[in-house]
Amino acid sequence: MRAASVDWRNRWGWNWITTARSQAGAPNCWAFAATALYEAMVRIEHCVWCRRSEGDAARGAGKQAWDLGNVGEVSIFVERYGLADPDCFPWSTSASIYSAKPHGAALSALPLSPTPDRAGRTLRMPPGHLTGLSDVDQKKTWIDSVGPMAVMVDPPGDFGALGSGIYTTMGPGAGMHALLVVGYDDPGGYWIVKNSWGPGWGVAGFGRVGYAANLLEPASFLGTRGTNPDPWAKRRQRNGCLIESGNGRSHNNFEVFLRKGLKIEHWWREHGAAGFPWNRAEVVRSTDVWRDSFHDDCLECPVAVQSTFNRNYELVYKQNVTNRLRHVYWDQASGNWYDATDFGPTNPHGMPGFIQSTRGAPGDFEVVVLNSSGQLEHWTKQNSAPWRTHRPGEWYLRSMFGSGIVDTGPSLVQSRNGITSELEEGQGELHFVALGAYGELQHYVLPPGGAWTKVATFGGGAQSGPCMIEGAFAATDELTPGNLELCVARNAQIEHWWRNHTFKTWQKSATFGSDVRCVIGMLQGSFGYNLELIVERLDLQYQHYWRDGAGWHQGVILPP
Amino acid sequence: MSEQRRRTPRTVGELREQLRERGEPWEPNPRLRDEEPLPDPPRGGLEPGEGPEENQEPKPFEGDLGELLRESPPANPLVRERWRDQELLREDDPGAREGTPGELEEDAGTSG
Repeated sequence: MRAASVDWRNRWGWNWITTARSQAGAPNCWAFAATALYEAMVRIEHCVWCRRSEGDAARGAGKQAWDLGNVGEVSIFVERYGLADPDCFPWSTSASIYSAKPHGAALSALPLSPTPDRAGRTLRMPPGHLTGLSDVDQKKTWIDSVGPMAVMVDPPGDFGALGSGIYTTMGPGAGMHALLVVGYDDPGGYWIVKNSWGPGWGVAGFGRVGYAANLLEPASFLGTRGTNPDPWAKRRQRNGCLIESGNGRSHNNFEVFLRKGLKIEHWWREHGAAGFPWNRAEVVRSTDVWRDSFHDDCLECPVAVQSTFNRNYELVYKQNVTNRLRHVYWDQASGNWYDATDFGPTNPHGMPGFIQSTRGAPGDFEVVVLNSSGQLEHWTKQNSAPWRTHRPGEWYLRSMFGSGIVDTGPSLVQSRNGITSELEEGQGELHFVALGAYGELQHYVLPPGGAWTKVATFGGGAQSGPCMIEGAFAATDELTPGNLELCVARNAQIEHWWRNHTFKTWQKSATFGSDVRCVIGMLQGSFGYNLELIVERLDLQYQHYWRDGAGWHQGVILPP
Repeated sequence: MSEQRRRTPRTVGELREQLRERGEPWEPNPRLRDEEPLPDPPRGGLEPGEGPEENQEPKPFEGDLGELLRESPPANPLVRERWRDQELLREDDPGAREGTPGELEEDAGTSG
């Protein structure tokens, strides 16, 4: 039986709807409603905020700021080419040429074309993903059991003046307008809609439309399922060797890269099969017949990133050939592993931190690694123009910081903290936590344009470098940063710590597990904000842990 | 009040007065001043059937919605709980054992 009332802005204690935006002076409501629909469904299906660009939806569909349209046109474009984020192609009311022309320095000020890494930063949707419903009870059932729906209606002229209360005007329409229906309330007799007339309309951009107005009842509603969000959208909610990829029936398989002896193995957990089986995919080694340059050279578990280079897997690990870090990548297009380069200090220690940052598009790769003198080195691989100081693809030492560090783990995070705009390019402070000589955890921050600074010391007695993500807790909408979540091994157990960006103090949440050597992978994924861990055990096997509403649980041990 | 007898308000003040007279359960945005004309923000939707045939939105589904929904059960356990209440989940759904540690299955091929 369907619920008597649903409001996806607050369901099960979570908000699933992105903030209301403004279509400004452009008649592009249809692009805004469609974008809002996709954003809501990614949030519901993958528990991650996934800001998409109305500009990408509208201009990609071949329409300018003066064109009328409908949600179906956007869906055709999204089905074929995906839907990108605003940093790839922002919303604007200016005329735009939507082409594959790459950005150059001289063009960077104008949103003429999407960034060259668009293929790796788009939400993907399956064919025929829109479902239309006309029966009122079916619409409500869908909203209750699946999610919000887009609708095209013809509201009267006073609709633009709606503030609070329940809109009930019946009258001649003043023009077709697309909305997102985010809920309904049978006892109160109204629908809840998200509009695209800015936060000043209704209450924070949302309004209540009475059943008595008979505005939404005759219209066909459009819903969708099967979202496959890009790794760029999910990047903050994961770290280390563990990735939630777009593979599998629900586009949420876990992929993990593990050291076995000197080899790297790729495993995955299949979420479309009963029991969620873990499977070994392959041994990671060079498949480039002309440059068989890496295999059996791994000394420490790799740190993985699924990048905006067409969702490629990028691995960085300590290797025994030159005793530096090696960067290798899986090319999704060819299905091959390639050697990128070796870089970093000689004889590095521990697992490095490794992320793709917001500097440029494709964003630069950033690595923080511990050198043999107990200092942290920050290395950057410049991935995009302008090439003023470094060659394309060059890894370079950017800075050194800290001292007396004894171990590191995959704890490098680029936070959303301090970013006030929906555009993130070049913004976002870097956070890194390392293990000090007394088992204490040292928390460093690099603000944009600044220098690495130690901001906190906490914990004690830790035995290895930690793993850290910026998770979903406290991220009440797509613009608000989530808490830092950190797990570290201590006394062969795992300690879970967290830090809110407003209160800035580290709090220990739990101690659990056994036989743990170090935490090497962490994510907060599609399973209702559960935290998932991969740890290396003292017997050199690997084990999965997860936390749900009932607490932390031990999962399967992957064999050596 | 019937639609025919209602005059179209020209200003926010007139709209406020009409709403009060009719006892309507909504109010214009308090930021709007009485003397302002009714805001007319841009819309932009095509009428159904307008535009090329291939760009039309899908026709409304006709059939058993429950069966349609069951083709793609959700992964999110919060939504799955709702599906359980609605008896939408199938017994043999692969995700029915979520929350379990997973099983080990070696050399099963590639992840696709």
